[in-house]
Amino acid sequence: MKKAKSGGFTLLELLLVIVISGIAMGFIYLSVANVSSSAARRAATEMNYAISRCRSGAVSREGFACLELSVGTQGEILCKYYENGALAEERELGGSRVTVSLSVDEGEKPLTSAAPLYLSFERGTGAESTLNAAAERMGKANSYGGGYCSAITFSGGRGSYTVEIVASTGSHGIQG
Amino acid sequence: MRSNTKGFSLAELVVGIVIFGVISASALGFLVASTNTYGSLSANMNMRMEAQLAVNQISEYLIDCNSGVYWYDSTKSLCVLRTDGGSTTAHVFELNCESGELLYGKGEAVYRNGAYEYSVSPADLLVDNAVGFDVALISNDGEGISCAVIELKLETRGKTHTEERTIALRNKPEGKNIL
Repeated sequence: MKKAKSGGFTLLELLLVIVISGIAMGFIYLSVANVSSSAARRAATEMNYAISRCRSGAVSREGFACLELSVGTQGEILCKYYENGALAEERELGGSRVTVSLSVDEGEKPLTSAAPLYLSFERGTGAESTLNAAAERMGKANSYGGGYCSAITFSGGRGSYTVEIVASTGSHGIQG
Repeated sequence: MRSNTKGFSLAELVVGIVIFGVISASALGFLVASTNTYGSLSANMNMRMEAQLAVNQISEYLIDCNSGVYWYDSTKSLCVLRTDGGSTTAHVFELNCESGELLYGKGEAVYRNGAYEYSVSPADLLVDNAVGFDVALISNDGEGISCAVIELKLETRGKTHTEERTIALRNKPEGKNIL
């Protein structure tokens, strides 16, 4: 026994050390990834991109472009992009852990599974359309008041992130 | 020789770890470089898109301008007066040099003593990262402004993009470049 151990480390010992450090690194990576890119932040980033796409669609095309933000059957957050009433892109922004709150003219309102939010932008000027106008063009009902949506906040797990929209110009960005 | 037969010595291990470290450091270098390239390319594309979109928005107001257009060079401010169904609205675009924001605001303009009077302080963000905004109003035949040249300069991550466009004004409104 003494003679066998005296020469140095065996391959088995080395492998054990590498596996243990591998597992430790895995845990470190997971916790870092969670902080740097939480579900809420990812959802807000995707929403910001969706608004960019909808807005440039609205400014450049003959028809109208519209976003539908809704809560799915499993509580997941869905964002659909329509061009002239036809579905052009669908994305899942986040799972059921992410909740969405809307800043509309009447104040803060949660996004509910019963009523999707319809967002649209004016052709030419790129300004935000009123929520009523956006829903009406889609042939749907609007349950979030007749004014403008000035912010969409995604919360869940670690912190919350907000996509802010300037109604008169349509410019938008992420805060938080 | 006999001591090498049973396992790795500490010296061998250290050499192995150092070689591994050098190789992974160079691999990481490539990874970081390509991530940076991707980041700056997408930021650059985004900036160009934003500049185009902002100039599109301004031209939308300019094209149908019918009651006057004024460029104030000292404040980097463009005022577009538009009359629709009896009431006149002043649309003002102004560059805030300190914050790098191109701002938009509108308000009612009243015709008094042969000129429009309005009081608008632009506060709504149109586009961020703006470092330059210049407009030249051109009158070809002396009967009002026939076209406007817009120059918008954006800057992100040390790269700049200048979007320049000449817009023909349909209604040839009166106007002036005020230095």
